[in-house]
Amino acid sequence: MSAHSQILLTSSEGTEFLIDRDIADKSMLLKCMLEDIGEIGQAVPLPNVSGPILTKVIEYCTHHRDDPNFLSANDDVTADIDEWDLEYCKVDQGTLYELILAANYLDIKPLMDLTCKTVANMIKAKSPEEIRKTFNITNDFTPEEEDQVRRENGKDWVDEH
Amino acid sequence: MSACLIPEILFQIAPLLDTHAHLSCLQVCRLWHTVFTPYFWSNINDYNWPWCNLLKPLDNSKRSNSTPLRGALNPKARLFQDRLSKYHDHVRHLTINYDSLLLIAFEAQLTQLISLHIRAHFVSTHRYSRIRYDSTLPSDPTALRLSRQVDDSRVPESIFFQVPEVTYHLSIPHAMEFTRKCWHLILDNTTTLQSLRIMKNSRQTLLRLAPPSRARDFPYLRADSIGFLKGTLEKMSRLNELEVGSQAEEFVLQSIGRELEGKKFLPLVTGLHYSARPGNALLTLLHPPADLDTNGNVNVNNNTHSTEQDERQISVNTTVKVLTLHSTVSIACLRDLLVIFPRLQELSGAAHDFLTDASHHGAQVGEFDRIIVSNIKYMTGLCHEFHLFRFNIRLPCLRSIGPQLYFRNVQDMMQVLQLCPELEILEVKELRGMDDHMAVMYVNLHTQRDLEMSGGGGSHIVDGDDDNGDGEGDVDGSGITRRRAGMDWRIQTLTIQHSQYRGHTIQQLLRRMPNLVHLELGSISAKAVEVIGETCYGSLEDVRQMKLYDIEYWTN
Repeated sequence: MSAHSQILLTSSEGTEFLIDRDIADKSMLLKCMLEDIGEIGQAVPLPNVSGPILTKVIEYCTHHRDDPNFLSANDDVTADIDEWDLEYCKVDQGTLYELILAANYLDIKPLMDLTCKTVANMIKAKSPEEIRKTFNITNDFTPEEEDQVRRENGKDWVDEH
Repeated sequence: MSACLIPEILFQIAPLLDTHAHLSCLQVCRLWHTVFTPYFWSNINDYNWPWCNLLKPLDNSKRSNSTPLRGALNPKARLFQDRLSKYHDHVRHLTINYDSLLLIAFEAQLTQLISLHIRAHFVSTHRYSRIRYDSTLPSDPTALRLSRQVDDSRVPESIFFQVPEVTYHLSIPHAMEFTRKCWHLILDNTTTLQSLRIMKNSRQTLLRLAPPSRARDFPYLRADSIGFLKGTLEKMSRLNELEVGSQAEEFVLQSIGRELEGKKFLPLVTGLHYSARPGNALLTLLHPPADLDTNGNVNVNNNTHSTEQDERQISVNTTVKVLTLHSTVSIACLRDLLVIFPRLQELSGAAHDFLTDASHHGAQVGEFDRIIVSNIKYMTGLCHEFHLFRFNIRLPCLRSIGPQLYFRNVQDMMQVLQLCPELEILEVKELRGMDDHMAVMYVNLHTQRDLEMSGGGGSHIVDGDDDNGDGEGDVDGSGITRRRAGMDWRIQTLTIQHSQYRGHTIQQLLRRMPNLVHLELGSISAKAVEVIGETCYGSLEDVRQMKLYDIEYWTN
């Protein structure tokens, strides 16, 4: 198993991706699999990841290919996101969620942290109504429920006194 | 709506948000309400918790002398009580700051607490002293309803605070009830608690304070209090952080990590808080009365315990990794602590006294033996003027010091950098010292010495040697020295908020820090910035964040 060997991945639509072994190793799922069964000589199917998303994931892993702190760097949840990563996350919400799921499935912790942090930043310091607008969520509380939720949690009486 | 946030994603995101964001989130829709409610309720602490306003005591004492019937309890606490009784299963972290929160928490029978921090001062002499707690509440719908009875048999009488009633308007029975409720809350959660901190004022209430002169071993606590405390702490099988305050900590200090009746006491506690009140436990621990004179100094070397002779007398603790000191300690006391806890990795605390308590040891300042503690990697506080080094305490593996660090002069700073070769973060509050000229000379001299020590030989720096005095001429000399192995410091973050030196001294130091990533220099003149910019760009090329600002400390 030399470091320069290559791995073939198949996305959900059947598109094939040929990537270097060290890039595949960024994914704990692939790493463990390759360590367990060694070189399999055939494509690894990833039925949960679509082609465009896999391209995006590979882009991330390639950029951080030589990052020595790849696994330890993002321990600090409050740390700022670096510039490249910030740019990388400027995608539509659908893609972002799919990236989270892909990162979760492939077990790439830094990508998981980055994407979750991006979504968290979209939520921070927003009112419920603003959050609904941002994420295009329908308010499915019945009027009575909403009234109760507001009474229990509403800012109006939280801040009074 | 092509894609939506499915619960799997929400569960990943929720821990990254704060309480206020959780509050907004749980009002968004049904799904979010379900997901975020447990997060919102998991951590109830004082100031960040959006509802703490409801619990704040009403300060009626200013308005009139008459005692309000409901006492200091905010009537709105009732609303909070309703919510808490509904969601009490979710509460994991609780910081008690107000009396009403204690009452409500006790009432709610919380049993899943992971951390419990008690800060409230249940018997206050100051602000709420005129307020009486009246248990015969009128049938006011907004008033707290309490039904759970305190079980007297579970907490011994002796643990209570007892003072003449004159001092406190709050009646003793009420104070005792509060104390008891506090202990009940602790007893309800013994199996889950990982962090128990009885903080600040609450210490005085929760543990009985007796005149210090009475007993010899634990002057503050009676035997049955000790027994109760020991029994309670022993039940906490997951405890890893502990603060018990001034009265009981002497006992904890003596017993932690020791075999008590065949079982190791508090085996998992890695974080210990020590308020360092005067007491003789520390002294008797290190210096048993019998040979107080013969056994003045103890040597702790890299990971090993003390010398064999000492081991019989000293209870060395190897589990505690983080020690936090909450009040000023003398150097002697600090040395003792370092001897008792040789595996410390992190040390933080208040400043320590300038003068060592010489009578403590019967030793003079200069007579201290060297203590080398090679596990400590992080230190905050405790470093006013960096006395440790002058009292022969060496921390060779230190990675970060700061942020309240004062240096008398550049010599001190050089010494720290030389004695702690692993240092990566150095945050200096103030770098004193007036004579820039002398400082530059000193730095040059030591740079040269280091160069010789590191095997570089003296020949390469001869040209720098000639111009030692003026600093300007040394550029070339240091240009060479910089590249030498053993010459570069590992500093990555350097902050100096106030510096009395002008540019040349700092510039000399910066040249030996090629790993700098973050640099902040305060009160530095425009001239100095210029000097640094001209001469140090080579060593500053990796700096990602630089902040140089000029508070005109020194005009001109």
